[in-house]
Amino acid sequence: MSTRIEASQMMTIKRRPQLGEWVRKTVVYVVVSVVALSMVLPFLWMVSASVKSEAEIFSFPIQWIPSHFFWSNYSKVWTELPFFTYYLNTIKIAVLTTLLQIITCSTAAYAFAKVKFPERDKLFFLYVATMMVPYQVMMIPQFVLIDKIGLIDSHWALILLGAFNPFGVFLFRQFFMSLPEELSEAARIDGLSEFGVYMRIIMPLIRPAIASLTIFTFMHSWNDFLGPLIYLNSDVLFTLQLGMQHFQSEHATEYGPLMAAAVCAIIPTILIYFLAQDHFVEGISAGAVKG
Amino acid sequence: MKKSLKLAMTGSLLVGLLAGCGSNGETAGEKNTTSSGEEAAPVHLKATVLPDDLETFKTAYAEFSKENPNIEVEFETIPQKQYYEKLRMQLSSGNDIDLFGGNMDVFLDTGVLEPLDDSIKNAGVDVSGYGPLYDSLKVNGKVYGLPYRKSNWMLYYNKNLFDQAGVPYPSDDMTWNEFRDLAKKMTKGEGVDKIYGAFLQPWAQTWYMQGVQTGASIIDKDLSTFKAGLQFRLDMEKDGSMMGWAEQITTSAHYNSAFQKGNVAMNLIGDWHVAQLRQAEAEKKINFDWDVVPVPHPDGVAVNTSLATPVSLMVNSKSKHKEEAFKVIEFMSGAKGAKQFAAKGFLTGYMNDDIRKTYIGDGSLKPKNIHYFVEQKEYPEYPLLPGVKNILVQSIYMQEGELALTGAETVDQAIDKIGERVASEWAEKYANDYKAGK
Amino acid sequence: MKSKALRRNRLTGYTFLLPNILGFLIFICFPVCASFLISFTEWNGFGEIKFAGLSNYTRLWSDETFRISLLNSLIMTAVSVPATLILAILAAVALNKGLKGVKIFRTAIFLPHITATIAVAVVWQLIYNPTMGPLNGFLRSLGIDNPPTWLASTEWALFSVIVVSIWHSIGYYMVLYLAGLQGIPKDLYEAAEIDGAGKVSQFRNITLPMLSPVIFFTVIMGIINSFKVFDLVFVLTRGGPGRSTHMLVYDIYETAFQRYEYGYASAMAYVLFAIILVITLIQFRGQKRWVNYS
Repeated sequence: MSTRIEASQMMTIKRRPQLGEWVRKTVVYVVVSVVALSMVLPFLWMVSASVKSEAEIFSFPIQWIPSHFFWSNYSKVWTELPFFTYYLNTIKIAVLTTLLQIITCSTAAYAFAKVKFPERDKLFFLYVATMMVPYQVMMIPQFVLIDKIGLIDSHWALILLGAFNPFGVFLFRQFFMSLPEELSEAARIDGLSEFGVYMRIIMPLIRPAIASLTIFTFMHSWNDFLGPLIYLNSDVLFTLQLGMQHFQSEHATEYGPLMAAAVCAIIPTILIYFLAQDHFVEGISAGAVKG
Repeated sequence: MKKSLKLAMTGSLLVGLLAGCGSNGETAGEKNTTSSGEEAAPVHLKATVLPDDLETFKTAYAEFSKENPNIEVEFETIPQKQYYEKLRMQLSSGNDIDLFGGNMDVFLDTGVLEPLDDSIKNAGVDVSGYGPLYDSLKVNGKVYGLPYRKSNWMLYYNKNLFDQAGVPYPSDDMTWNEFRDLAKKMTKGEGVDKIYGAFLQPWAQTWYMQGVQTGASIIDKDLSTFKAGLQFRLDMEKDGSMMGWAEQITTSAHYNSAFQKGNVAMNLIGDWHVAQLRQAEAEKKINFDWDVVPVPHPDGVAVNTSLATPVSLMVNSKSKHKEEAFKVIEFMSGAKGAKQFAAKGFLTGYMNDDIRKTYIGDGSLKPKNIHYFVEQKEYPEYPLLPGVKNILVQSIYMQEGELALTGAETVDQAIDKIGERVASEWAEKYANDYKAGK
Repeated sequence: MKSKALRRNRLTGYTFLLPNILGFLIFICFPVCASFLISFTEWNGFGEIKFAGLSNYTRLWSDETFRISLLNSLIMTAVSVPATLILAILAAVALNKGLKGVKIFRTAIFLPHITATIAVAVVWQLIYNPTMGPLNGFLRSLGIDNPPTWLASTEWALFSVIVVSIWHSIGYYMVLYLAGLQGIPKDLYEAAEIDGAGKVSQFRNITLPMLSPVIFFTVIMGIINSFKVFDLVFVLTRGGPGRSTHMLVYDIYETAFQRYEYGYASAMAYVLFAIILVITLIQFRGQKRWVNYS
């Protein structure tokens, strides 16, 4: 069916002059740049608001470069709040949640994708189904549960609630499913145990998936507000998102310092993203050699 | 068959677990009673208060503990945004909070509010200091909390703009129509440099206030008194003397930044704005002079009639130390606590000459005419009845009001719809729970 | 013989599952089941839980706000999920390789996801501003005298919000597609190149099928996430004007945490659950036809 199309496409490839390629690239660049700019603008607004006075933050049209720089917004963040403690708390929770999630979700996904047992698909569907329930109605039962276990006002409440998210299981399962079965079969014949297959063959092949789950879990945990709000009571345990609420009072929000705090808080997440995305490129080349 | 049995068992287990949380408080409280057997051992209380008030409570507590050395109070707070959500969750799970602060309407359906009438009578509390607020806080004839502070409304104006325009400052006795004319007079310019005569925050209160000022309540069966306020806002927008609703929404316009920017002549907002302006002044973020006058009033309504939202302290009925908790409340919302709050610039529920003087200060801080705040006649912003969650009635007013402001509906249609929704979403469901006048 | 293998497989399966399924059953599954039971009760968080039968569910029929917000959420999902996913695939393919500064572009596209929501709202409010915004400026230059007021219009607000939500989530799904693209062996493309297949046919015959397990994942997650959009819409419009952008999760949130009717809120949640469940079941049934598992 496709031979004619392919032939005609071959013609176009041969005929296509250098200039066409150049035009195509330029168009892609322009489109991508415009889109990217729109994506960066809110971030720039945040940075600019973080050094502005209240009056200027919402003045319209937006004044991107403030007429006067209020660096005091930043000093307020670091002096009025134990911001460093908030940082450490947030890092602890985010790192442990991410680690636990990668370990437990990948083994569970391995069972769902690579081991055959009868109730497997039903169990898996149960995992997926729980994600369809809005968090707002799970909150109360979850709170009662954590209260009974005695984990209120502890970071472990957040870590444990985040570690078993079905999202990670579903994500890994899909990536495992796309790996050719012959790979693990061959390894099994070579005498590798089931755990060996998982550890030595499968995991190295899905590094891009690990990278993306790291990004999502870390970001999610880092930016979570509701969880810390519900489970943490003591100020020394607060996370960044919760601590920032200091600038929000009954009748008004101090947007300047709030944005300064938000800018300080966002930096590690950008770093994580930058570091993780390297693995998008390396993943398969490492795996392809083994395969 | 076996399966469904299992399911039912798990089910009852789950419900049991959830229901069990209510009784949890008793076991938690028990260790307190045994330890406080001796007279010398101080009673330890836990209090949760709004973040804005934490510091003042701690200051007032220092004085309190001199008088009551055997009562220890530990104050805690919760971020403002989810204060009520979390507090209710804690209370329901049997957390050993003895007393707490906030808007009373949120707790009326919980059964955790301890009636205070007997304690008030026994302690001989002089309730006249609360004025009419005391009675308006009664629910089905009972007192469940005492107001330690309140917020009400005022008209702020930018003196420099009036000086520049050569227009006399707003008078302390303006009807809404006079206010409208004045705003028109003060409006100048176009586009970015435009000077607006007035700013009304896109909250429903800024228009339904006019109805409440006449003594109407936002859950009345007949809401026709509220039409005037909504129509008024539309007229002001048409005059061009204030930013239109659409414009406000699409520019994140906010009363605080709008007024601080210096191109708004008159700003209709609550007493808390004083603190915001003082802070901006201290941080050198504004450079104009400002003052206050009473909010405009409908024809035939007394001068300086405003809306008040009380913030109360309440006792947890599950507390093991209700008597001591009441002592804290009595102190904090009474004359002594009120003085501390007044000194920090809060309007207090309890008033006497001394507190008034403290609130007004020595004149070194703006606004010059701050005394108007303590001379107001007040109507409660919303009625306190079981099942009436202010925030929900508010959102009905906001949502339907918006339809009139965007032109999707007429004022009459919007108010009719509000009446319909108030009835169906509130009144029909709760009508049995309360004895209402209207 | 067969049952022995089965038993061994089952053992292996559960051993791998164990660390996760324990936590899952306790921390996720239990609260979910509890909330399902609560949906048949009347409970405000205090005092006894009254069994209410199906009354919460029947009450939904006459609840106007629920009807409006359910419809809004359905429209939102129907429009935004396909649009987001298509744009995200295109972005991933464009940014997979070849362009200079790919890393910077990739980071830029992910930025909205980590930027404070209020910042996103302010910038979009600027773009949509009826009088001074660039969008209406452009429309007026085209000769449209009376352009919509977008976020402030009952007719256009939902559409405007959907556009922002698409824009907002492209980066999220792009990350997944980028990860998926790495799993496609390069020799497939090389072989196609030799056969003379063009870029479009390579995309259709190699990229899409090889990416299908990830696409399947994103379709399902996209639907789930889209029904749960909360913050973004809330800061943009607070559900207004009127109730024109009121979403189902607000309604659930308001019912649970402002009205404090947990039973009723749970019933709403399970109607939403049922809808997503049916859509997902259809997807799972249909996946054999288009999802390519090796």
